Amino acid sequence: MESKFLQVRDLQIEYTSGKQVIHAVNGVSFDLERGKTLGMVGETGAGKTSIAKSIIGVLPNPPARITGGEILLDGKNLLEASEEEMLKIRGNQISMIFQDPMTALNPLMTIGDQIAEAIELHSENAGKHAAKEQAIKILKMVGITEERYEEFPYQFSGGMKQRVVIAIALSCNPELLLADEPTTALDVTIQAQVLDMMNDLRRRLNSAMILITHDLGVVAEMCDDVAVVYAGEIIEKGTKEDIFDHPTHPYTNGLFGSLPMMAVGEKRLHPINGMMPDPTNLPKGCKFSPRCPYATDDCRTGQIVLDEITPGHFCRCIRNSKEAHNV
Amino acid sequence: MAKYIIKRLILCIVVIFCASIVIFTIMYFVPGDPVEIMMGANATIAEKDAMRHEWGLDQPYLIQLGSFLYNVFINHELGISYTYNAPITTEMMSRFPRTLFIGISCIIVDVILSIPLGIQAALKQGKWQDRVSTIFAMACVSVPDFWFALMLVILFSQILHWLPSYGIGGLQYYIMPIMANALAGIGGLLRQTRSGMLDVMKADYITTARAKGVPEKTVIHKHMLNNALIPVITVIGGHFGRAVAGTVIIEQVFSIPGIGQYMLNAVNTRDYPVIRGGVIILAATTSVVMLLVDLVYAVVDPRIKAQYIGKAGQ
Repeated sequence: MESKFLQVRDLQIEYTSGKQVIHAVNGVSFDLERGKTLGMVGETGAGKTSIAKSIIGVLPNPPARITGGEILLDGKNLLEASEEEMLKIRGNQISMIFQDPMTALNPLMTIGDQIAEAIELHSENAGKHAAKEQAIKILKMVGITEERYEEFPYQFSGGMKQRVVIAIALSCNPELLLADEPTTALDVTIQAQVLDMMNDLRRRLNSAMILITHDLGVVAEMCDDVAVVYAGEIIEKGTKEDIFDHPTHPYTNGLFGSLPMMAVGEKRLHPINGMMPDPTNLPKGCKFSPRCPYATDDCRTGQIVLDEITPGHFCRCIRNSKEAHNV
Repeated sequence: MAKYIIKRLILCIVVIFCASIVIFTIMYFVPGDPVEIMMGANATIAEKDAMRHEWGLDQPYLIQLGSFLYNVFINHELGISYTYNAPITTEMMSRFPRTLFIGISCIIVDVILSIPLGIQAALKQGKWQDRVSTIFAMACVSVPDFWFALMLVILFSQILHWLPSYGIGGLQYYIMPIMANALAGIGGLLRQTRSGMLDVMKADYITTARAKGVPEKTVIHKHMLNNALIPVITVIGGHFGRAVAGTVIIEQVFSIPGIGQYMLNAVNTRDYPVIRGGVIILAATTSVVMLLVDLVYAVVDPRIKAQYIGKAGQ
């Protein structure tokens, strides 16, 4: 069997808080090919960040614990890799862009040193001087001039800090880039700039990317594939066209329904009623059933599987799989 | 930066000036008469009045205050001790190095012991190392230093005969005073280091560093420590003041002729000029240390350095 670039199989993550166990990720599986971008959408607390952090191996343990599944990068299971092996992979093969640029940089280190640190760790001819030169090159790539190399994070605006964070992530030409809501903390005007820059650099380096966001507009702009995450499960996944043109799961439909549609000229948005289920006490059966307008008794009791409704388009909903079979 | 330092030094003088006024006023209104204490019941009223006149104690408050401030800040003279009839400045200068030595050594002992322990406690949060260090910190804070000093004397002088129990001489005379005086500081500093580390360990930039592939040891040394120790620096500065003030008791226990002992005797005999002189010297020392602490801040934290430069530029 030809192994794909990144395969996540049945990943399960739990958090322990006091005596409570929080089931953050419950059996997530997906594949990603080289050079492609997977958009991961879902509400806050759906488990998106936990998935990304487990791939790069920086989940805080305790309280988090990976209880099952495997993460295969070029066929190699990262969850079984030793710490030394992971140190070589982290920041080199896989790197991550964090959500909040205001806190993601060490306040006491110059931004140049923070970029050069990763390069020094991972490049073959790791001299301080060579690392600095490379860091300056990366800085210029993200649109920051060389003079600012010796400056500290407090001297940068939010958007500029995020550029630095991106520069750190891209400094060693990663094969896989995990972008955890890279633009959430930024102004809308800066968001577009940062996204364009990320996309451009990613294409140049031919990195694969997992883009975590709750902004469907960003997904439409950036991604090839989309996975919708709800309560620690993927409830729908497929190509961007599948998801945007034929959203099938009631939750995905709900997400689109809560967006303003300028063309239709609707006066009111349609929010999804209710809240995400309590992750310490998830409902049996379909996790979305308490909020789903179409929920039946079957939804509340049975195990709902991720069905392939059209080639490459998966949906975790009995209603849609029935419809698909009837068609 | 230089502008900032000059500004702060001027501020130091203001602090010392205010401290002088406060201590003078307190001593003036506190009950007790140096003349009564010095001359005892045998002296006649006329003799006592003559003594009061000689020391200027029959003058009104404002005039006494004025001449005191004039002497200290214009003539740089702390006055003559009532008891020993000797100039205080010379006496202070011969005693001050001992007190300063004890104070500085205390801080060094505090730092050497409590920072590594605090770091370990944070890294092993919730495990036995953490609990042991918590109990140790609590013990340090709750044990009175004079009692601890006496216990040290019993152990090291009476039983083991390792160390001299009082007086001055070589370094061995200072070991027990320093240990006893450092004790209370260790607990506070340890807890401060621990909580500083715990805050930093959860910070996002630590995750960033780990995601870069930085080995855990380097993460701790390069990314956590300097960030965690910034709040600790403030505490160390505060402890210095406490360590020097604490010598009042410790010097008494170990009969060390430092400023503390000098002041305590002066309080008992209402030797006003000595008390004032001591307070002025301690206030000056403390304000200089605080300035040094703030400068260390600027070296460690570029944000604060920028603030200083910005403020001075205004």
